[in-house]
Amino acid sequence: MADAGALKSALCALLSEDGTVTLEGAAVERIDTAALQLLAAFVRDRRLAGAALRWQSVSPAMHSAARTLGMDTMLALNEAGS
Amino acid sequence: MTVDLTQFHDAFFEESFEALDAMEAALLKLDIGAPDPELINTIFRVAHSIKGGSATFGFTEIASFTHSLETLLDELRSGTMPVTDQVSDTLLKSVDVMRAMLRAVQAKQPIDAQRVSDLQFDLEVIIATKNAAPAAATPPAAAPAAVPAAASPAPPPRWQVRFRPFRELMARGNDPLRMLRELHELGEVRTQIDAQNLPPLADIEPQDCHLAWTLELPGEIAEEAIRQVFDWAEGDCDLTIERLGDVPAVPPAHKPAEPTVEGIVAETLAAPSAPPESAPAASAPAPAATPRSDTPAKTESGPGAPGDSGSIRVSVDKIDELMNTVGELVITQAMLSQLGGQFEGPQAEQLRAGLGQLERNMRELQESVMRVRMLPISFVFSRFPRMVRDLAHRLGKQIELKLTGEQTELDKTVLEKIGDPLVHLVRNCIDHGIEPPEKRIAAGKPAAGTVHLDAAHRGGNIAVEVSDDGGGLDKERILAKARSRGLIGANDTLSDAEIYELIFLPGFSTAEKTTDLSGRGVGMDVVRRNVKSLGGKIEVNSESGRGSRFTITLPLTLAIVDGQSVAVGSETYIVPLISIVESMQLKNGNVSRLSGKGEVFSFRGDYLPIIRLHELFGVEPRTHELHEGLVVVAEGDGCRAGLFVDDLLGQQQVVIKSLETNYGHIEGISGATILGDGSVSLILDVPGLIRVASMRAAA
Repeated sequence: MADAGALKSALCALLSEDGTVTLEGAAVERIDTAALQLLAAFVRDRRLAGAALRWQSVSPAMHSAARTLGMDTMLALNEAGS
Repeated sequence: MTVDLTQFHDAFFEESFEALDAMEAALLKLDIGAPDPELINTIFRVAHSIKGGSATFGFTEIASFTHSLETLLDELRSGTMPVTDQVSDTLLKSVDVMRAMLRAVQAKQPIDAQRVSDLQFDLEVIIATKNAAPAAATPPAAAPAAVPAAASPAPPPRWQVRFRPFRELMARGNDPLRMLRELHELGEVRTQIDAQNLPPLADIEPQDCHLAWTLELPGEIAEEAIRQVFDWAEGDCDLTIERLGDVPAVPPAHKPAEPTVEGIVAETLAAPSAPPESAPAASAPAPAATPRSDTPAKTESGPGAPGDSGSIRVSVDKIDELMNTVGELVITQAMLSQLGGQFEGPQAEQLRAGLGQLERNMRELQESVMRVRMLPISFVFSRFPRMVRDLAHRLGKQIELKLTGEQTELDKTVLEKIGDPLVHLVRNCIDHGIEPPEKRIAAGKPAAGTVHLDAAHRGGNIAVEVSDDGGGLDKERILAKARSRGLIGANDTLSDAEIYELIFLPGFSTAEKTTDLSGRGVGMDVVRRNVKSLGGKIEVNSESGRGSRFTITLPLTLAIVDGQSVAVGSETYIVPLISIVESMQLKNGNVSRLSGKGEVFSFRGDYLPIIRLHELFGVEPRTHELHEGLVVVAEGDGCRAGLFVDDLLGQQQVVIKSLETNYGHIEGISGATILGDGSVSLILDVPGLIRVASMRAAA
């Protein structure tokens, strides 16, 4: 629960990053809706700004959570290898 | 608008403690290896509701801890992690920690952070070890995907669930991910997320939920099962569950087009109005599908639903107030009855009939109000399974706990105070009474000892028995100990009852080595004192090699006592019936006078001191001659004495008014009551009276 706040700050810092932001999701063991929501906003905001973003890799846990919530498309997870 | 949440704190604590009791009970019933899913659900629900509540009230430590706990429970629930001894132990410890945290928060004390974080660490370790095993880690969600829908050529009716959480849903401890996962367990779910309202990242409060979902589930799932998933979110979201017609809402032809729809729900799925030509054909399978819908999906939904128990919470103060008023009414009624008896004339008979009716109604009212305060003793008994389990573990003994008569009801105040004495007794049984397994087998007994707790109504009292089939009280050792402590003379011979009586003396303990359980000698005397303060008594029975039995006799309530009213001069006193052995008239011959010890009389081969109440209370009696009055043989603290009174008046129930609150404590008096004629009468405290009298005699 407390993690979501930290994640938000981290993502906000990356928001205006030039060049491609690479997200690493391999180590995700558990994730909740709050975190996924932040990631979704981040991915969308990056795209709206026309900035590049890619996933390095995504753990099965994260994949499954995103799929369950119907968020895999918005998170662009399918473009990543797992 | 702000709502002061503190007003809900009490209810939260109370409910949480009850929920924890339920969780503990469920944990103890949980079979290692093959757990009952319903029990795990119960446990999960407790953790979840405490998490939600504490998050709402801002008790972050509790919320954070229960979050870890919930994660572990979720694994157990989904069956991806087995229930092992270690898991069960950790969960039991979690119950303790949560209780401690809640108590600390309730008392506005700091939480024992070290203990919490240690256990939270253990929980995380268990979860992490499980996640390390990759085979088990595959989420169950993927599995059911292929199973149901594809088979039927005409798609069966489907459920459409629109789930629109309010912003604060997540902050209240609900995670949509968890709910959607549960839905996935029911069957294949088609999920569409609505992220239209998701603000820019910088504006998101991490705990606010800005997402909404439209979900489609197979029609054969019971609606109740779907609703249950959202049970926790009730009030924190907009939820509509619709049946998408008994005709296929999405004809097969549409199917390829549909899954690619992106992001926002703009679909016509909800429109059952579209009248497809295939209607007559499709309606054929539909009736077949409908009856099926309630059969397979969720048979456990019935008992699982948290039914309305039909009760309300009332503060004890209100009940006490009611009780007090009823007490006053009883007195008024008694006054009227007495007055009514003095009337004569044609209407007197009618008056008396009316008064008689009033008296009956009063008694009923009184009983009803008393019953409100009554709770089943299972409230106290329920703590023992856990305690016995832990103690048996620690002492390496095998113990079976038997509980009977749990439904016996007694007054809440009595109930609250009887807990500790019972804990002492049960501990003693386990520590001293039950032998280690080897010793039991050698004695030809089953390896597992039995501790039996029983409660029953006996007359106007409640008898609570704690018995075991252990070695019984060791008379020799008790005697030796008593001699070495100088409690009895070296050559005194004592009856069995007197020997057992010794264990109730302060500072008496026969345990060879003091364990942290017992043996500090603070046990039995405290037990007796507590029982006595409740107006009860405790008796011991023991048979060497066969076990011992402790019987606690308690009044049903502390508010009313069965009393014998006695006359001394112009005063009336009440002697509690529970202390009376018998009443008798003395003959001149069997009274002797001992120098320095006052008068004694012989009673069944024993000599008992005579306490002249008129001397003690400074009242002018009707007679000073012992043979002209009566002696009430009363017992208290294992001592007996004869109370010399003028006359016995009658037995009656009297409402106890505390002297402490209205006046002050007087040794030998336990309270006062108001008699039918409006006069005040004192209720005697027999043990105290005996103490006072013997001190005076010695002085």
